[in-house]
Amino acid sequence: MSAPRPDAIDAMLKRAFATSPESSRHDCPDPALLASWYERSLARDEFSRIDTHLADCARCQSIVASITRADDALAPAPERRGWRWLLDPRLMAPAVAGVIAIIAVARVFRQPEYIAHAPVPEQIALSDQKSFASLAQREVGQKFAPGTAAENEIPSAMPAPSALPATQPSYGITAAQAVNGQIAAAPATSRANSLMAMALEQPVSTNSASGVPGLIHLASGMARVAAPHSSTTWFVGPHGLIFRREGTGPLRAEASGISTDLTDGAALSSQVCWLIGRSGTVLRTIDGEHWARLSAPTRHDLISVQAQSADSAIVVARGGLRYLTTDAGKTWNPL
Amino acid sequence: MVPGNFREFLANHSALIARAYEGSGAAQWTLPREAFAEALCASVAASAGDAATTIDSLRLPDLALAAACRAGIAPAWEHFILEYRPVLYAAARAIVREDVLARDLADSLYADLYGLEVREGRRRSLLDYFHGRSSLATWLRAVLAQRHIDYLRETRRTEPIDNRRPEAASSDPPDPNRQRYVGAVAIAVEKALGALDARDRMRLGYYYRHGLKLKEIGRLMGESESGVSRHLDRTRRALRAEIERVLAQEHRLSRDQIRLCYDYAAEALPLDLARVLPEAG
Repeated sequence: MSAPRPDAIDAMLKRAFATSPESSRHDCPDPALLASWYERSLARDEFSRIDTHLADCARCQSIVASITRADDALAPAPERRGWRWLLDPRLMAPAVAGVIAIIAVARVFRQPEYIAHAPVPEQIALSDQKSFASLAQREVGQKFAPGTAAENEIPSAMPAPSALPATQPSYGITAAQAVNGQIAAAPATSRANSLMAMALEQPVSTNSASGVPGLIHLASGMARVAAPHSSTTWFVGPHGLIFRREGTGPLRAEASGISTDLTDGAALSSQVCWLIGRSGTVLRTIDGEHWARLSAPTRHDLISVQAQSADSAIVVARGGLRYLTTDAGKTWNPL
Repeated sequence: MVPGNFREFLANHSALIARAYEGSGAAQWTLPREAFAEALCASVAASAGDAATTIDSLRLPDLALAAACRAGIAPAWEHFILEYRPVLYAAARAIVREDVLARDLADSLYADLYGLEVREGRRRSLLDYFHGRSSLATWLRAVLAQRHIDYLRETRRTEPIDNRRPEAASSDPPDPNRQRYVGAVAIAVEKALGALDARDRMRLGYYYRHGLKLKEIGRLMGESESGVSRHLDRTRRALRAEIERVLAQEHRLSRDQIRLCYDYAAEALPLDLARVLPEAG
């Protein structure tokens, strides 16, 4: 006598769920309720009602399954573990090219005449177009007809740096731009940050194919936090980068004191702003310039913040758990 | 929105409305206070809670942005497109898993979000249904997902019967007991699934029907990845014990026959889960 295979129930359930017609109900909650259920922002009774409905409604299960998949798609890719992938020959060539490009940029930036000879444009040889796509698009933006560049993509017509005339500015920052205040980096700010700052100031493009106004090309991973009732805007992003801009004025780097990626923020005024990031990172400023790291409500990545006052805010962690502080982050209470 | 209720709402909650307006950043969109109050009123009407609790729990900046877009305020639309177009595309790609279709799906939303249909002198926008009870991003994902899933269901409904579920032809000689075994196991599975706790059924659905990863199921159900794994394992063991009990006691089948039941069921289990899983009240 032989026993059923250990995976027999698994195979049978797969078959049963794959071939069974999807059930659905006539009283399905609307997307707004399902979104609130997903974010755990419903009152207990309402949450339980949706939970019960979901148990037996394949249509609504499909919707929340899609929401969570889409949420994952927006999440940063998990770090690869181990070191063997470093030996992957497919990664070696781009890695070497990247290192060469960084060294080339660093050498050019170290030259003292880089800033000194305004307004003579300086050239920066960048061998890696993709790394500085946004910057390049600003520099040679006029060379492309608006609407021909697909959103977030490098224009296909972008000339290689070597193809540009030697007397014309290439994909670098000109000294004129630097002294004219298009970048007003704080002394502590590295020139790499300046590149990021330049990349933030992209012209609006138009996607002629869809007829929908195109995006302002922000540097990858940067989020914009606008303060209400004022013209102050912060741009926050990877490695704790924070830039502040007043109206259409220059970008000024602010020291975050951290190297964790920042993902979002909420400003109440030009003085009070809350920022959040990975691994439960929460920063706050109450003078608009100096940032203090607050205690972490959770070790999970934070995805959203709602500021209520200088001392009170609600943050949402990936997975939907919400935390409230009313004492400027000294304590956090799950909601 | 009932205008009478709105006037009452304005009169009774003026302080709340003013505070919410300040905290929402609606002023940056030059959204008139009354338009914002109207959005608040609709949110409160859609919620079971009282006005103060509901307004405190709302995503006010998102609600203000949605109201401003609905009102056709250009800077709000520019901001919406800047912030949410990448979200929509990424969500569509995750749902459809094909770039061109994903763009079509995401772009198809804009006309409805903008509201091309005009009724009683007012544009009807999909954003009318956003009440700020979740983030705008999650709501957009839900709308996108619902649209795609309803499209798929509609497509399946109109698909010719012949195109559905092609069964693999078997070259083995037919087992005369096969039909009986498959029938017996279908009944046993129906009983066992029907007796499960609602959350256990939900977990099975996410795993077997929707193919979600343990981490994704955990996020939906507020459980850890290992917790989901443990629950699934426990549910499978419980199902198996119950199925085998029914097959052995009610159908008088031996271990060998039960094993055959599993094999046949994995190939063609005539199970309608819509019937098995009771409609919840």
